[in-house]
Amino acid sequence: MARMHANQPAPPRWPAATAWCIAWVLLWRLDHVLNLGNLALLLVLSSAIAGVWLTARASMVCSALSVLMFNWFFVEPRYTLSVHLHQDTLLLLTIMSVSCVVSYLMAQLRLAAQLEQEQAQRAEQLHQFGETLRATHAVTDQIGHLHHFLSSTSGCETCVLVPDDASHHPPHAQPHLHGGPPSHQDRQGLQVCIQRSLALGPGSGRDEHQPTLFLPLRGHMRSLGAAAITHTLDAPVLPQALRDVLQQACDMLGTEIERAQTLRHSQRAKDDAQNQILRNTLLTSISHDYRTPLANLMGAASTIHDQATRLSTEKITHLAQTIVDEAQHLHRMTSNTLQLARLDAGPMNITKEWESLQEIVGSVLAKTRLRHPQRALNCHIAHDLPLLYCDAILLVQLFENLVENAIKYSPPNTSVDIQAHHRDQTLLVHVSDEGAGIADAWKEKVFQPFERVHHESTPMDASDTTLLRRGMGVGLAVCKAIAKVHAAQLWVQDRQPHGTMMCLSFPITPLPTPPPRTPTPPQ
Amino acid sequence: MTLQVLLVEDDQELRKTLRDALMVEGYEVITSGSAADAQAVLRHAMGSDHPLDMVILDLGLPDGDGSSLLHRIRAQYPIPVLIVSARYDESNKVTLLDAGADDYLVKPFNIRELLARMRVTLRHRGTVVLPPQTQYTRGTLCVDLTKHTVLRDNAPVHLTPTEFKLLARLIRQTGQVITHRQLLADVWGAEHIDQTHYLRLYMGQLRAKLEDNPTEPTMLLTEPGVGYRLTE
Repeated sequence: MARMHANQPAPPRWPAATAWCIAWVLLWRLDHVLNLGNLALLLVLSSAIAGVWLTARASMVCSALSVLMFNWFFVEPRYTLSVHLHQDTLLLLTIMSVSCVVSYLMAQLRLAAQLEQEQAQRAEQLHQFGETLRATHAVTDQIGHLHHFLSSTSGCETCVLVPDDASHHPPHAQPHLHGGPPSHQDRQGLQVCIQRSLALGPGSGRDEHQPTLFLPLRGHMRSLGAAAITHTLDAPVLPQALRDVLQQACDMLGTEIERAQTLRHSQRAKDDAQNQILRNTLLTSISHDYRTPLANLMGAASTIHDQATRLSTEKITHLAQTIVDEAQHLHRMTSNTLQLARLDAGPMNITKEWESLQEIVGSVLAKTRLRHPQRALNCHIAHDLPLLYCDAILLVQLFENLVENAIKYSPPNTSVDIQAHHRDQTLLVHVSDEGAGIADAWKEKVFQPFERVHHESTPMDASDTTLLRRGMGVGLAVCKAIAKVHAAQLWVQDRQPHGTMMCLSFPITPLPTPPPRTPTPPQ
Repeated sequence: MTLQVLLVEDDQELRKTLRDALMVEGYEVITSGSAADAQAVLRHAMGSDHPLDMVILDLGLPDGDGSSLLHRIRAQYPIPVLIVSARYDESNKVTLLDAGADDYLVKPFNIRELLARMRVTLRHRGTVVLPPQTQYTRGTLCVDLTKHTVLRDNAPVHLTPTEFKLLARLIRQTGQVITHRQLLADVWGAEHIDQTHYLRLYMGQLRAKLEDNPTEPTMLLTEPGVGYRLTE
């Protein structure tokens, strides 16, 4: 598509020719029937009609020719070009003028129509360009689209430069450059254009002597880049309307790049804030929750270290047990804190497989029984539970935390119950204890990292209170995060007559293909 | 003759603790703190009159990933390798087991656990080549693979061919963890290694037939995210 003016189809000539032919046929027929004045009106009419299709110049030529022929064939004395001055000169002038006026008006009309059509065409092109930009996400591709648009619309050689967004790319990243490598002068022009955020070059009112037109890619605040349009020799200055279209296209890309940059910046700010929260959480965790087990470890280990000779074997075994218990406690807390950090940090690689809840709960029970051999753990899992599509490691951690919490927050002589069943498209798991329960005000807060439930009113002996104060810290927060990545719900309910029930509901995903069955029995 | 173990662990304290603990149990222990050193020790020891019986390998080594060392050991020597890894590399663990590691332990671990795993590993790939295990007896369960019989409380248990194949595969490596992929490939075929749900369903059926309480199995143990292990 070259420049739009050149491609306008010329109006057809045959209607004009026909009009003239009809007029002349009528003239021959009506000669001697009508007088000369009436015949001349036919000439005026046909000149006006033919003017609709002819250019002003062609129309004048035709009219002049017709007047001469009319003079030759019809005006007395016939077959001469002499005219009775006072009779026919006025007639001839009138014909000439009318045809001129009609041709001129028609030409104006055609020009206006053509301009309007061009405008519509450009608006459509801009619209399509906008759509293309919207559909493209990579900046490089967007710049490519602009380059293509500018080249095809202007018919000139173009080049688009978008300097690197320093905050987005690594510092050594190259600026985006589309189109042939610009000359040194053009490159300078592009830089100046970006800095001044103004169009430069022929037609812009600035640096008119330049052979290249520079257009800025304007955003709301500044220019995000610039385009260079090198004029061909036959068209030193692009028409105003075309320049406007090109500038609009450049601005569209400028706004788009600016929008993307703003989005990136705000996302980064959000990430930074998130990281800051996470860091604070970790620091709180270390200062509050790690000191107690560390102090116990230190106490037990240093006692063995310093007083081993004076301690009974029984005492040493007890201290060693404390060390093992506290180390396990620290290990669990570290795992939870790390897992929370990983899950909080955003989408991570979770390896989901088809897993059996029975197996997962089974391995949690096995570990818990090892740790708390004296506690009663009751488990009721329906036999027909569907498989879960989940990350087994994460779910084991989730249930370990729930069971560990239930044990920690209930008296030692009570039991902890685990129940699992499914209803409609949901798999429900309940982990409940017979402890003091959780007050309504805390039912949401327990899932916040490092919140602890305080039971001032519950009578407890010293060791229970100590246990209570030494909470899991992040345990339930991790559970919530793990539930979230599995699209599961986790909430707290009261258990009747007293105690806490942690409820977990998983959506059930249909199995892909049933395993192939082998019909014959062995042997 | 005492069994000789190469312990590759970069943390000095843990290395010392483990060495002492293993020596108390009667093992002869050579320690190494880096992959390069471990390779030199292996080259020297495997050529000597008293070759190593086992390698305990930590994954995070200062001069290279333990997994590349495992691949090199596997390519050169027929020696059992027990992997010791930090948590959060379960997928890596599975890769290593599939690549030929004999078993793994997650840090922090109990010495008792380490010794138990070492005993199992040594029995399977020890200096003495044992005939493949064809019988399994635990509690009231008695399986004879050659005779194709499964008895529980002296009463025959009916297993489908797939269930039997799965059980047989586990018995062949009693005490050792077998990854999902290995089980799927050996029982269903290499084209089914991603169909973990086959395994879940058949393991459930097998437990229902062989275990007293399928939820808390005592023989067919789950290693979450890794595979299954048949208790010794």
